[in-house]
Amino acid sequence: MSGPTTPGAAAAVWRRSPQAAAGLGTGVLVLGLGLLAGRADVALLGVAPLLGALWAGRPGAWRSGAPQRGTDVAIDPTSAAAAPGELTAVLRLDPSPGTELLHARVSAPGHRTAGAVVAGTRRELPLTLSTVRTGPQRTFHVDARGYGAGGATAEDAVSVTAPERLVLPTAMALRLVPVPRRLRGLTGPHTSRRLGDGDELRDVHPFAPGDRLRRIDWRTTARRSSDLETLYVRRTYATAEATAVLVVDSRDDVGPDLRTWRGTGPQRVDEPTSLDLARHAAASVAGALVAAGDRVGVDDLGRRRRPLLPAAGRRHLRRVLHALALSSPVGAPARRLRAPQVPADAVVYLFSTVLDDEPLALVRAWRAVGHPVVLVDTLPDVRGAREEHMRLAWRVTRAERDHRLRRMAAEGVPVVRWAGDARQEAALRLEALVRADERHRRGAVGAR
Amino acid sequence: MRRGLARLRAWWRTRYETGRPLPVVRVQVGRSLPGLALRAAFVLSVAALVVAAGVRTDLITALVLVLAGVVTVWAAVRPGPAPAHVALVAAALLLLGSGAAPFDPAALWLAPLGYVVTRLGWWASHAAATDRVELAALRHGLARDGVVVAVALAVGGAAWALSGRQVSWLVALGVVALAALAWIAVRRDDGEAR
Repeated sequence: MSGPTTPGAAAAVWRRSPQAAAGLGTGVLVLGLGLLAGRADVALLGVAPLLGALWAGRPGAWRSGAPQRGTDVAIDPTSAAAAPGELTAVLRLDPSPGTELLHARVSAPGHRTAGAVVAGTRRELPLTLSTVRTGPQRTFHVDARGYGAGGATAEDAVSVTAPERLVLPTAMALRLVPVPRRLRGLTGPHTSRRLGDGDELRDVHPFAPGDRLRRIDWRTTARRSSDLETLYVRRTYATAEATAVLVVDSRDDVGPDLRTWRGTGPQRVDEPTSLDLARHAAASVAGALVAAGDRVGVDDLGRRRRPLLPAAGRRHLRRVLHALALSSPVGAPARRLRAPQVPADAVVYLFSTVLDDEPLALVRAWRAVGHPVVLVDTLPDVRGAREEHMRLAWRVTRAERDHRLRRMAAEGVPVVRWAGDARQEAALRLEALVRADERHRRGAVGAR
Repeated sequence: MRRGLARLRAWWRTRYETGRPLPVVRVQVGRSLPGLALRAAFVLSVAALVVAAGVRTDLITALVLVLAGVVTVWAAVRPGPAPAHVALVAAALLLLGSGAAPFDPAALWLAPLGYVVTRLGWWASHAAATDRVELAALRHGLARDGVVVAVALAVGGAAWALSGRQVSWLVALGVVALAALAWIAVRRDDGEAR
């Protein structure tokens, strides 16, 4: 999502620079020194600085005065697709006539500032920043200033901030992801256990009222009932679709650096936070499910708002990605008294850091009413802190978290880690879950 | 072995590496040079100006070197117009001690060098070390600087031609011109926004 062009304030003021005053002072001093000493060679040293400070013109515009208006500065978010992990924009500079140089300092949150000095003509400078973060992102801030001839005059800096951008999460290709064993509907990509229209043969059965004539198997009928007293039909399993609800625990957004967990320090833009990992994981699962024709819904634990109801299709996938990108905590989320409602027979994917007991309670509540749950652990690989108190606090927090995860696993909840190197193995882990389910319930339908 | 080292490196990075530099915003400009190059050129030109003026005098070489060293270090640590103009004044003072009175021809190249020092001082104070300075931007002001230096050299050439002669009215004219310049400068630089 990109906002409109942000115009810069053009009401800047031009002033004589301190350098010009220093040049004048030095020139007069050296010239006076030479005259008092009767030394033309000494006085000559002051001529050029004096002339440079006093003359506001240039070849071609000998009597040109100081620029009259401020520099127009605007940042246009580019509509062209940038490389993955990059945000681009174009900085447009339109200086006043008489401007000799333009100095632009470009900053962005989590980035080192870059500066550029260009000639005082109308310019368009492409800007690029790298980030692995997703969701609403503040991007470029530009301070631009024009300088008159010889730097003798300077413009007040013009500041422009680019509109916030919404970075959608990318998705990783997943082959198989767990779906509920009990499927719903009469159409879909899966084969259900009910009789109906489908491709998978169930049995051959004597014709009964309600059977379609085109389902009569004439060969079987001829073999079993040569006098055609009984007709036989081929019965198939019906098709069905699976429903999944992606529940993103956006109540905390923590990075690998423990020092930023208090919310005071800036989080790095080249390291994904837990919420970025949750968005990426959820987008990957949603992509796999939608590609298979299943229905996907989204709920956010960090916000009290209407969840995105399950639906299928590419257009719905865009809605899912936007909902994931916008999932972020608003204020301090209150404790939920009951688990978010999910459709009957839906599988629940919970993306959480498991830093408190609430995910545990939610998983138990869902499982108690028969929903299968897959817990995706989105805590990034945490860097140890040098400070002893932080190290101790992390040891306690990690021990509690590990204990929760062990309890989940003991209760039969599959836990898939999505951070660091484990992310590459997550696809295999999800596929292994599906295969294991197929093995243990051979004959029962339940996995794609 | 290699895998073990990679694991050790990853563990170390995960555990202790917290002070990595932040990524940089990229600004695409034309052919450019870093601001650091201008700063280096400024420091060198300051040293060259003071030393070149110093060798024209009969002062003790050590004193000249100390003076040049102080100004050069200042220019390196805090580049800007202040060390540039101080270097220019120091060069003028050193030139007073030149034995080639009343006009030392070295002033004909010291004057352009002094102007270059003041311009580089401006650049050094405005372009940070990591800033990209487009060559086109440098060329943009080159013609104007050339005119300023040419006028100064013309004045210098005339002064050299007249040096050694008793031209009292010319001194009076110089004093009047200096006063006029000072008045113009004060009037124009009244601190008000334009």
